[in-house]
Amino acid sequence: MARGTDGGDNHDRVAGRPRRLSPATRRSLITGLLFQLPWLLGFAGFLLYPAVATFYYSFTRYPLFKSPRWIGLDNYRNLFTDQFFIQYDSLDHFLQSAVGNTLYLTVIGVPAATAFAFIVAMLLNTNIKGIALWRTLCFLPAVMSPLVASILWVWIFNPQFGIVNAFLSFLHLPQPGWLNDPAWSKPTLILLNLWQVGFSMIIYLAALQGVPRELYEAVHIDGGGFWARLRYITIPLVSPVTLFNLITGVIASLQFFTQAYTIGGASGNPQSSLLFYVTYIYTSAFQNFDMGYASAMSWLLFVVIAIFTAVLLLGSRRWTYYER
Amino acid sequence: MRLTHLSRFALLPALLLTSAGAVSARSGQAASTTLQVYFEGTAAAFAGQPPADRQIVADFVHDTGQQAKAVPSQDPVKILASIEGGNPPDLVMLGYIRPDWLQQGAIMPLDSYMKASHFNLGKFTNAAWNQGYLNGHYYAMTAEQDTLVVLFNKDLFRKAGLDPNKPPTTLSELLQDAKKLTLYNSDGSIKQLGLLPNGSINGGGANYFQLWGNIFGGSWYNDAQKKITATDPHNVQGLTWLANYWKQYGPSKLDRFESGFGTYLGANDPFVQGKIAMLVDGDWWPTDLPKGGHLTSQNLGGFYIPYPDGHPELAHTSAVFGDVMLIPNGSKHPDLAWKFINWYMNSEREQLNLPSTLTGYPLLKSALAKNLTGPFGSDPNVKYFEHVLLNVHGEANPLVMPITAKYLQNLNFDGNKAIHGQESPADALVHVQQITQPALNQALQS
Repeated sequence: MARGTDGGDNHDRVAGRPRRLSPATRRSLITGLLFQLPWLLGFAGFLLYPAVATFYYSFTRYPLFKSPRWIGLDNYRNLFTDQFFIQYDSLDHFLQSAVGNTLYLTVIGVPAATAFAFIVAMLLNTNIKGIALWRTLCFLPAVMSPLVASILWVWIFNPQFGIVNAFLSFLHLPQPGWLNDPAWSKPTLILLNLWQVGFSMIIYLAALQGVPRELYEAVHIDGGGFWARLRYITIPLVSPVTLFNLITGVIASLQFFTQAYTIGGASGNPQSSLLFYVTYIYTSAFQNFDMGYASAMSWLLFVVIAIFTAVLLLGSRRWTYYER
Repeated sequence: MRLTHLSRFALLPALLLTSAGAVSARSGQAASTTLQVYFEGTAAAFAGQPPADRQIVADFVHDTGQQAKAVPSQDPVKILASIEGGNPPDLVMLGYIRPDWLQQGAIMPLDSYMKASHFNLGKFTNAAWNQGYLNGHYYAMTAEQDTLVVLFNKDLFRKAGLDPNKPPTTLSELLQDAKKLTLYNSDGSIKQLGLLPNGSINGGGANYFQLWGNIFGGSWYNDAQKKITATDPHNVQGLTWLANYWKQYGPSKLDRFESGFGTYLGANDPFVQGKIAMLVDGDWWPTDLPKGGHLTSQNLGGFYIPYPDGHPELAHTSAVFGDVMLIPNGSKHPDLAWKFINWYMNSEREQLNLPSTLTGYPLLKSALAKNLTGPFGSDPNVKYFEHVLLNVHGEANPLVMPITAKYLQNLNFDGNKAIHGQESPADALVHVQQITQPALNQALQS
């Protein structure tokens, strides 16, 4: 009879028979579960149940105060003919729809924010006097509430009274409409995101400080300059952080809401140029009372985020370097 | 540390006790007969008076002996969630009707209460009930009524050589006066706007597109046939008029001018600051006028929205709306809630004091024919708007139909395209019609 090697509690372990828990192990298990119970209840009640419920609702017409009625894939089908969700006839119209605006922010805003965070981290990765103060100042915007930052940005970039246009006017340069011009509203939001890259910057800074000095010395000995060090040492060694920032940035941009709703409202003013995916989920659910439709959009977003993340992870094998 | 047998299972009773406490607290609430009246906004206090919501409820308690409590500043989304969750307030007063709530079945019909109380609708203007009337049932009563007029700055009129006692009566006169009242900066940007026809901030939204269609005699919904009538030729005329106005002054110039607007009805509101000469907005301006700006009760004036040239039969057309009182489905004290509504609507004292409480105007015809009371009762603009409300005829705004929010969302989207010159008004409204009718058909099936 084979015996287990786990301290002798499982006396009943016999080759081919299911292992029975000893009384002591059973007691430990129950105690552990009881301590985990509050979290388990919270997870089941606030995450698992809503997720399963919305998946079901996404196949129904559910106008909130009436019972859900099964309609199959109609919600998903109707999304692709909804002008607020997506428009195909021109690029301008595409950028007045929730999908178009969200993709714009993701494809342009996330790489821009990642690159900017890296550049700022490089600048802060020095030993000059007062560097702690500079690092604090660069990080501070990131701790500002997105709501407060949005309201501040609206006035800084006000076309008539904003400080930015006042400065441009002083330099006799053109003064765009910024958040009041559909052509400029999303780039202005990207600028706001760049201003708040503190968290990504800090992670990059930590990674930069972990790059071994000997590698830079080796490049120097081989006659390489700044660009060689950057290309062959710095960027590859911080590539895992780049991947992390890209993935978290994509997930955040696909769920962009607070700033968009604060600045553009439910309509995504001006002229739907700030109508984002999650804003449209919100208006569908709480303004139009179309819970089934909003649920379908939510699940579609989940799938899209999963696909984006998978693509980034799979593609990262080519350009991400992990020290062994 | 190993838990003893006893202490380990003490976790279970602790959980049970906590939930039992929550249940008993909830039961305790249900047993009370105090009417909970939820107000969407928080009414300001005037001249030492208590806030209006508390004053009105205190008057109800005094007159009827029933217990009641005012709960101000309630978010409508939270109210809706509480109705859906089965724990609604007893009575709700919203800043304006949400027609979709009626279609969704969130609100209790008032028909049986009205019949039992012999509620006489003939004593009131149509605005008393038309905001809450859907599918042949009454769902809400209007607590105070308002309409949209053209407000103007008399000082700016005089500066431009216009007579403030002879405001325009037709749309072409309005446009001529607007041109004289518009001033520009040296760089060509607008310094003072003669007329803002569609709201004071951010273009005003779909409510103003609806309004301008009505002004030209259009209607947006045929309830008998359950048809969207966005393409009514009169609606097209209204949107075309707006689009032409925007084209005349330049959409980007108007957008830029509007971007600098301060807080609505605040000291830095552009109308208060004298940057807008004429404004299509609500009759609450005399009572809500902030202090410290260029606009005062002496230089503020108002007149009916002018009618289209050659159509005097369309004179005195405007939107009509106001705060509404409704009983949520699941209200624990619906009888008491109806008692409050009935008392309030029939109380001439409350109706006469409306400009000073809810900054609106009475629904009782007898009260509209009398001098209103309170700090604003003697304001000449308030007296004038009383007269307007007796004579104005207009559609409920927002529209009361099964998918109002969706309809107005579509109208806002395409209406903005039209006024910015991206789409012709006719095409814009065709598009609205094409998208909204199927959505209405779907809603009617569910």
